[in-house]
Amino acid sequence: MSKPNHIAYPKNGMYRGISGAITSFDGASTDITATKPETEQTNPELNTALVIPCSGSGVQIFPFGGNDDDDDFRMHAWLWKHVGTLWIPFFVGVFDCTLSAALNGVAGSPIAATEMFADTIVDSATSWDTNIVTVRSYANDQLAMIKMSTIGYELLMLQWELSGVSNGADAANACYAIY
Amino acid sequence: MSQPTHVSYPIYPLKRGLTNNSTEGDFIVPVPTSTEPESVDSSADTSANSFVGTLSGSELLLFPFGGNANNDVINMRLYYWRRLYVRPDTSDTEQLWVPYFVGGFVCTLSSALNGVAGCPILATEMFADTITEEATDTWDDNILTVRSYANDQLAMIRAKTLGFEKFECRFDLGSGGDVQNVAYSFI
Repeated sequence: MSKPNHIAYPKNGMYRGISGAITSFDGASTDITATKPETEQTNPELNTALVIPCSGSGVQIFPFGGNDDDDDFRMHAWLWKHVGTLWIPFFVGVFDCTLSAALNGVAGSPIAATEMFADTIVDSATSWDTNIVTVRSYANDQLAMIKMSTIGYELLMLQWELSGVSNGADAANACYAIY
Repeated sequence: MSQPTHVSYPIYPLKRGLTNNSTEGDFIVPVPTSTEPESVDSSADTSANSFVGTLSGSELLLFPFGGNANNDVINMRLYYWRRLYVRPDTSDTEQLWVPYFVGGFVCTLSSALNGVAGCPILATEMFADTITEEATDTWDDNILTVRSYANDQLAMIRAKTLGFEKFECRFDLGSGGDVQNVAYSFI
């Protein structure tokens, strides 16, 4: 009898969030709006936020930025639904992210050698809803991940505060993967 | 009314990971790389051997094994790898492979769970019957479940695959262990 074959399920790629990076924004806010939120790539005046269409059951988020080991920034997350022409943000939580120089990128790849991933993500006193958010934060130069259920929502928005924690980064961004 | 039909689900075989057991004595932490990760499976120098496989299904099943005697210990870390692109709507040539640390495992071998000569697991190799958390780790229960009954019953790690592309098992010899490896399957 021949051996059963492994079935190849689709693999979900991971993508860089903003093509550049947030380098100056130092406060996050969002309101109910009649304008559909968009990412800076298509709407430059909103260049303080990354907006991702929700699909699948959730999204994995991997914050990164610059410029040194242990630099940090604060990241805010909202999920959006719309009612008629009105877009309504649901606050998910705030994440304090600490970068690791060991997790830097590679020249010529989507993450430059001067950019580095976070190895630590902690709750910024917002009491994450663990039914929606789980965070893997091992530190010790291991990639940290936010796993967020997005079922029923249409958009995910991320915003950043560069000097929001204690050791301000000079750039902030995030990679994401739908699962 | 006719009886409901049984659905035929795919059956994934259990496979041996490394051909040549690893004798790595210290974990090496992987970093993002533009080179696609592959197994290191040298027969000449086994000291850096680690296993990389392609993920399938919804969950990965791992069964650590090694040598050389009952209650010897091997340590294993599981990483997932995902390929990073610039944008979803472009045909990128730039890629970066990013490692994600799933968990660290302390595995105690059972001589009652040894293999058979001439089979994929040899008589001198034995499966773990006990798997505990690496001292500095706290497993993410949303991703990992571990069955560790001890008492010469096969121990198993189950990890949700979550859309990642590859997995890697890295090793670090523990007390008494002299070789280490892993068998794997999917559900």
